Amino acid sequence: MSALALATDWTPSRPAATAGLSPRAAFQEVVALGAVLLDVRPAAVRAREGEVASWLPVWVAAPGRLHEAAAGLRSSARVVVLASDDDAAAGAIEQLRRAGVVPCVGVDGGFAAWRSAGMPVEGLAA
Amino acid sequence: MTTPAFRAPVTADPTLRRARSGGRPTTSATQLAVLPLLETLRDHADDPDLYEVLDLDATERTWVRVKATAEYELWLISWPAGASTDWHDHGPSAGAFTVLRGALTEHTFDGGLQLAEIRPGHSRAFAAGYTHNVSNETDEPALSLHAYSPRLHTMTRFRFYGDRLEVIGVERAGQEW
Repeated sequence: MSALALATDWTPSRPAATAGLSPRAAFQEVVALGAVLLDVRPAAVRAREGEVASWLPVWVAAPGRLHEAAAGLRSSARVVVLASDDDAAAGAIEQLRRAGVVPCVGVDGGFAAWRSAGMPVEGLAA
Repeated sequence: MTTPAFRAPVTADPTLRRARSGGRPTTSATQLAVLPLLETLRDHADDPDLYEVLDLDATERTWVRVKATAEYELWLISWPAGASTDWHDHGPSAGAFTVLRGALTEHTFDGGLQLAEIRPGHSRAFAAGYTHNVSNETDEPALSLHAYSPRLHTMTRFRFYGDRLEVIGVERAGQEW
């Protein structure tokens, strides 16, 4: 066997600064491993930035209501937090952890990174 | 392209909402690394029966799973002239493939479009998340053998825009194939 080619364009990336997932790794966790995708952006921000495509199993929880959201999240599945940016994700993760949702991780770069990585979105002009 | 049937509600309800109910898929923990996948291909590629399984004169791409273990599965695929997979990945599976007859062309994209031609005796191997478009750009049928580990579970479908790939859907074992 020759012409061996190795590719690693989706190894889950965990930069030390944020310990989050790349959008691609987050997508794979949701579609293949049953992780819960939780969009924590306020409704007005979602309307402006766009939504995660509705064919993905996405949960939405407004800021300030995360403790209520936490009650509905199964602790067995990792929660993948999609926010507007890394600071917002870190804040949401802190709230979720205080509410007992331990296995959670942010999407590095937030929704803008999700979109620019080609992950499914809707409600946006092409 | 198959679109899953569930829809997310688009409401202003500030409390948690859930787009769908239903079971969560699980993935086998057992997995072969890339190099063992190549060895697995090599161990099976000499089997003369592989040339008798599929009709090479079929007018569409056809495939059959020729082996499945706890760790990996093997697929045999026939490619009429001009056939193409379109852009896809293999979910959480690593994979490898080799050409038994004819020639295949593989396109990949990492900011620039890459092209590789694979002929008998040549093979490609890749990690989870690898995205490509494989086609038979010759005038003759082709036959190829593919290994995936863990067993193929989901595949992501993409549309290629020339300068970027965008996810357009997900296909699942037992549903779309």
